[in-house]
Amino acid sequence: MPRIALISFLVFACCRLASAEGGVSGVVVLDAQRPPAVSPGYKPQTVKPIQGADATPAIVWVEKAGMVYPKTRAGEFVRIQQRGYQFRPAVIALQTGASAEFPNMDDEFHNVFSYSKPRRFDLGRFRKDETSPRITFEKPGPVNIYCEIHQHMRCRLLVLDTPWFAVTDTQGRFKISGIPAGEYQIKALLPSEKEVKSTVVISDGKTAQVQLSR
Amino acid sequence: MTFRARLQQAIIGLLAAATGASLFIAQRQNDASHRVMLGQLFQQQFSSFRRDQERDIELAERNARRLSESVRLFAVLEAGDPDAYQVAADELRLDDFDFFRLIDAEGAIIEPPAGNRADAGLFAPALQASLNEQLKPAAPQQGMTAGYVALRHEEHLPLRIYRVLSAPIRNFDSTVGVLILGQEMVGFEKPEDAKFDLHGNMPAMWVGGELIGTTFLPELLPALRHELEQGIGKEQPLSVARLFRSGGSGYRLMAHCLNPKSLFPPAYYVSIFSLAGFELQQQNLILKIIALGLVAIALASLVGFMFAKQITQPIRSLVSATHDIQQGNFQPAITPGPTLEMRHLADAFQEMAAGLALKDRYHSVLSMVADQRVAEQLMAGKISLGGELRDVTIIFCDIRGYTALSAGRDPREVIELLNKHMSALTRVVYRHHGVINQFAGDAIMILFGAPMDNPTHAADAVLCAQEMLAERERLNELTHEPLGIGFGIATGKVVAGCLGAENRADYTVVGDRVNLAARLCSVAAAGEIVIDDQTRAALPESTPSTPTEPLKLKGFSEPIIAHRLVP
Repeated sequence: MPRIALISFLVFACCRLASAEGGVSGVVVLDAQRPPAVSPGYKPQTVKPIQGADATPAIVWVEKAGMVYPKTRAGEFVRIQQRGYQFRPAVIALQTGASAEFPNMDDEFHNVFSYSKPRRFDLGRFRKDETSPRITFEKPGPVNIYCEIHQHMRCRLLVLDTPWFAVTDTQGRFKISGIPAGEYQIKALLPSEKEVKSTVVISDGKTAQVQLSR
Repeated sequence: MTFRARLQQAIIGLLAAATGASLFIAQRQNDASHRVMLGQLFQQQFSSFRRDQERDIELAERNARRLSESVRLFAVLEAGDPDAYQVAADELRLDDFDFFRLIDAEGAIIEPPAGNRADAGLFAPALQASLNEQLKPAAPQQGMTAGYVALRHEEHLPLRIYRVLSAPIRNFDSTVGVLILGQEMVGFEKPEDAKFDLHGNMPAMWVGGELIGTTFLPELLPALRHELEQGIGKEQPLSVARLFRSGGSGYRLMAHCLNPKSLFPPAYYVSIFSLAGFELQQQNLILKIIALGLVAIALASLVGFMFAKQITQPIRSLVSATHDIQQGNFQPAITPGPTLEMRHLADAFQEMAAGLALKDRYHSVLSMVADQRVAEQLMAGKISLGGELRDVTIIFCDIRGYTALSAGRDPREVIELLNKHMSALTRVVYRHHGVINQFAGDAIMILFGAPMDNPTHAADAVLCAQEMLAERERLNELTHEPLGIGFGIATGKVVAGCLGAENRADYTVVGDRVNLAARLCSVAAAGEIVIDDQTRAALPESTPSTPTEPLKLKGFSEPIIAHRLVP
C-alpha cells in the first residue's frame, strides 16, 4: 500500500509537473534570404559541381530576462556536414554547453573555421574519412562558420542560454514545448539575419499561438 | 619750331613708338612661351608622379582584391578580431608598402597588435595617434581612394609624406572593412639641397596645410604658404597657378591636386619655378631692344637732319634773298638746293627777283619823270584819264634874270646850276607835301591839293613858297652866283587829271587859276611872293601883305589886284 501510494504520488507529481508547463507554436513569416551573390571572378575548382544550399529557415526562441534556464539541451550535439560544398544544416541553434561536429562528406578538403566571439576555432583541413574534432559552445551569441577553401559556404549557428528554441521548417512553422507558465519574450532570427520579437504568455497545459513577422 | 625740329620730333616719336611696341610684343611673347614651357615641364613632372601613384593604386587594388577573396579575412573582420592583422599579413604581398591598416565594417580603425606578430608597420604611439586621426576619413562605404598623410617622426626632422590608398574589402555583397596601404613618398626629404634645378624648379607637396619640400629656401616658405593658401582656399581647385615676388625675384608656383574627389583632404603636387634666370633674360632682351631703338633713333635723326638740311638750306637762302630784295638788291645770291624741286624754286625765285627789279626800275623812272606822289597815285590806279574838278593852290616859281644867266654859258653848266637849284627847292616842296607838277626851263610848277586832298592847301602853299625863298637866300649866301626867284600863287577850281593820249599822258591841272599863277609869277620881282585874292582869303588876317596896283595880265580881260606878301 505505501508502495502504491508512492507510485500514485509520483504519477500525480509527474502529471502535476506536466500540467504546469505549456508550449508555443506558430508561424514566422520568413523574409528573403540575402541573395547568394557571388563576387565576379569567384570560381572555386571543385571535383564535383557545387550543389545548392538548403532553404534558410528562421530560429525562434523564448527567453525571460534574469531567468536561470534549465540546462535541458546542454548535452545535445549536432553534426554539421559538409556535403555538396554546402554546410548542412546551415542554420542551427544550440543551448550553451552543447557541441557540434563537422564531418566532411565531400571528396575534397574543407577547412572549417570561425572568428566569432562566442567561439573561435579553426579545424584545419580534413578529409572525408578523418573525424572532425568536437566543438563545444560555452558562450551565447551568433557564430558564423566558414570554409576557408570554399568562400561561398556559410553556416549560421546561434548559441542560446535558453533551452526553449526551435528551427522553423521551410514554411516558417515551429513548435516549442515544455515552457513553464509565465510571460516571455519570443524572438526570431530571420533568414535576412534580422531579429524580430514579441511577447507571449505561456499557460499551463496550453499551447500559445504566435505569429512573428517584420 | 623749325622744320628740322619737327621732322626729327616726328622721327623720334615714331621710332620710340615702334620700339615700345616691339618691346611690348617681345616681352609678351617671351612671357607666354616661358609660361607654356613651364607648364609643359610641370605637366611632365606631375604626370610621371601621377603614373607612379596610379601604379601604386593598382597594386593596392590588387591587394585589396586578394584580401576580398580571403574568406578568413572576411570572417576576422566581421568579428572585429585583432588577429585580422595577422590574417591580412599572411594574405598580402606588401613589399612595396611601408605600412597597412585595417578598418572594420563600422569604419573604426582596428588597432594593430603590438610586437612583431603582424608586421603592420608600427609607429611610435604619438605618431600612431596622428596617423589614426589622419586616416579617419576612410570609410568602408567608399570605393578606392587615395590620400596623403604627413608624419613628423622627430621634432627636429622635417615632415615625411605617406601616400595612403584605401580600398574597401568586399566579400560577395557585403563590405566588411577597408584596407589602407601606406607608402612613403621619396624625393621630398633632403633639406640640405636647397637649390633650384636647371629649369629653376623645386618640387614639393602640400598636405594638410603643410608644405613639404626637399628644397625650400627658408625665407621663401612664408610667401609660398601664403600663395598656396590663397590659391587653394576653400574651393580646392584641381590646379593652381600663381605668380609672386619674394626677396626681389619672381617665382611661379604651380600645383595640381593629386587626389581629387578623395575622402582624404586634398594633397597637391607643387612645383616652384624661380624666374630669376628668365627675368635676367627678359631684361637682356629689353636692354637690347632699347639699345637697338636708340641706335635707330640716332641714325634716323641723322638722316632726318641731312634731309632737312636739303630743304632748310635753300629755304634759308631764299629768306636771305627776300631780305636782299627788301633792301633793294634785286640780284641776291641764291644757293640752289640739291633737289630738283629746290632748283626749280630757286629758278622761279630768280625770275621773280628779275621781275621785281624791272618793276622797281620802272617805279624809280616814273618817280623821276613824274612827281613821286603822282607816280604812286598813278600806280595805285587812283587817277583817271578823264580828270576831276578840284580846289587847288598853284605855285609858279622862276629865276629872275635867267635869260641873262644862261646866255653865253655852256648849257651843261647851266643845267648843273639849275639842277642844284631845283633839287634844293624840290626838297623844300617835298617837306611841305607839295607836288611838283613840272619843270619848265627855270620855272617850277607846284600843286597843293592835288592829286591828294589837302584842306589847307592855300596856307601850305604860301608857307612852302616862303621856305623856298628862305632856302634860296641861304644858298645865295653860300654861292658866288646868287639867284633871285619870284613866286606867283593862285587858288581856285581847276580840272586835275591825266592830259594827253591814251598811251602817253601827263598828270596836270588845267584852268585859269594856273594861268593866273603863272602871270603873277611873272610880275613878281626877285624875292617877291605874289598871291591872288583867293589865296589871300585863305590866309589869316594877320599875315602881312600889300595889295598890288591893278595888274593888266595877259589872258585876263579885267585888271586884277593881287597881293604881295611882306617878308
